[in-house]
Amino acid sequence: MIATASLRVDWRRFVAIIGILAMSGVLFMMKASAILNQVDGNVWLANDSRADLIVKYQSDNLSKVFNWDFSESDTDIFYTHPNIEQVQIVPKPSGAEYRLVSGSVAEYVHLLAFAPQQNSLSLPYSVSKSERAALEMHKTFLAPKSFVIAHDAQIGDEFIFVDNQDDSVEEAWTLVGEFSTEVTPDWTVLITSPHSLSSTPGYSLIAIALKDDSLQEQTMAELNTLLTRYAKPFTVVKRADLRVEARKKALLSRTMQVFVINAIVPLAIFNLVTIVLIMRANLFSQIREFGTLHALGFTKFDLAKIAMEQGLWLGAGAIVLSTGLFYVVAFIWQQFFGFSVQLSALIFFASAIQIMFLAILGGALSIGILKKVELTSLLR
Amino acid sequence: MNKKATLIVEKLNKSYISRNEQVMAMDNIHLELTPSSFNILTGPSGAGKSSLLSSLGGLLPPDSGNVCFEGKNIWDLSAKQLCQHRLNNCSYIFQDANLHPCLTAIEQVIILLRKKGVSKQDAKLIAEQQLTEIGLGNKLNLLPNQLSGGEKQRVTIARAIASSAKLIFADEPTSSLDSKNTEHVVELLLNTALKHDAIIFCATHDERVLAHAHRILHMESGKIQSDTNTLEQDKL
Repeated sequence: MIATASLRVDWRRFVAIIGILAMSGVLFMMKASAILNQVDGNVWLANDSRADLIVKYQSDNLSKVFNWDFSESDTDIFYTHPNIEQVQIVPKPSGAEYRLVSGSVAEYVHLLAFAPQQNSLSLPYSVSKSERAALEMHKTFLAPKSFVIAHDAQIGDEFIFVDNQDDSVEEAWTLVGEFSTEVTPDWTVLITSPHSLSSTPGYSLIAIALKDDSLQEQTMAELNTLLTRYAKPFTVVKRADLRVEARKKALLSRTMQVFVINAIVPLAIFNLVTIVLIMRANLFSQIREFGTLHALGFTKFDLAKIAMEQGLWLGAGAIVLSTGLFYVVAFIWQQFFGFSVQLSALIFFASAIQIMFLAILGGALSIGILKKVELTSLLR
Repeated sequence: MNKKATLIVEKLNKSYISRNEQVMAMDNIHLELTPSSFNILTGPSGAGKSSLLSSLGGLLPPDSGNVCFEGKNIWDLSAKQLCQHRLNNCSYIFQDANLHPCLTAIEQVIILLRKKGVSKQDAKLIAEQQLTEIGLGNKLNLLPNQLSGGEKQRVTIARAIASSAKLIFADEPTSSLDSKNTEHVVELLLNTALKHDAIIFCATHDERVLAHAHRILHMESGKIQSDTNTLEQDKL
């Protein structure tokens, strides 16, 4: 009763505390996202992909792509491009029957630059109503710039092109078929963006899911022709070769994991100290009330429970606020620094649990203040 | 008939350092306080009134000496036992009431009753009853900042009565009250002492309170200089 009454009546003061806690939460989320996206994101996403073929810019710096392990992927063929250092595959949303395509306008235009013969944007795919809803969600929460292409498009269909960057949220493009005539409509094309860490705009990856495995050889041949004509820098990398690379990457990955663990520990300590200090400051501002309760017969454990309950509510508020702030900060990073991070469920829950735990712990630890102050001085 | 003494103070000493000088807040104090008594402690500022009040109330440990309540020295109790003693037996009324600023009048009483193990419904019922009895029935849901000084003090008294406190310590409870409110608060304290067999120990400078006291103790430089039983004087 006391904790909630304090929050209800004195909410203005607690808003400030929630704000400070939320900043700490954002800090954790941003750092964890940056680190984990960099290290784990690619493998996790690649393994989620159901693509049969992946076309990718050639990369001499494949080893720089942390933890790039396709050994578990269904992917058979890789095309790589030398100008790209980082790649990321975006998984299809659970329950969706189509293959999700995500990329950016800048990247798409960049692709066209490699295909000067092609004067108009054209892809043989459309977006249905339900997919459009998914797209809206996707563009809002996951990728600042994205578009979705379904596999069952026909020539003449419209597809939605989203560009959040220019505020022209969406634009309808008519399928003209130039691309589709050369890439069989039996394919699903997954276009993914390097929007995690790359400073080079451009396609990182085109993943192709075949409806029929027998089409693989034909598809490879067609792709080679197409990509050689439209985008000369593309080259082919065999999946088997990449597996060798993957083994090398696994070693690097382990090194990176050690780094991540070592980065997270001081980060967690920093957060712990910050939150405990905030909660102590919170208790200092209520020292007289706590002193009175102690005088009336509440034990320090009782007071700790009150402080912990306050911490619980403050932590819950901080999670909501920090999640909102995360997207704001992520958007600013993306817009001004071309560096975007994604808030995965893992990071969200890890951050949420951490904030809650630390806020509650901070409340409990701050009761130590009472030991240092004479009870009579609390009551004056 | 002499009532059995339930609060016995023996050889109580407390000193502190002020401007490099040792000051005796309590100097070998001996005292017996009986139930159903309204005891007033007077004296100039710095005489040690608040220190004595706090030591008797289990808030300020003395340097030496005993404060025995119902046969036990409260300063021999563990921290947890001392908390329990304060919860079960003591109540405090301070100059500005020290009510929790975020709890309504009724909640101020309920939290203490709940802490003592009273059920939620009973606690609400008792709190409502006590507050109504002392004239705050229409202000149950007001926060301390919506109550006057006298009303706040009445809430603390209601809390003391509701929790069946046997020892009520009051430190300048009327200093910020007007005459009307002072009369009301003193009357309530007096009634509480008589109705509930409580010991009221009140430190004050307020002349208006003295007329109601059963016993007046005057303290200076940490010592009790005079001890007047007004009831016996009245009989004479």
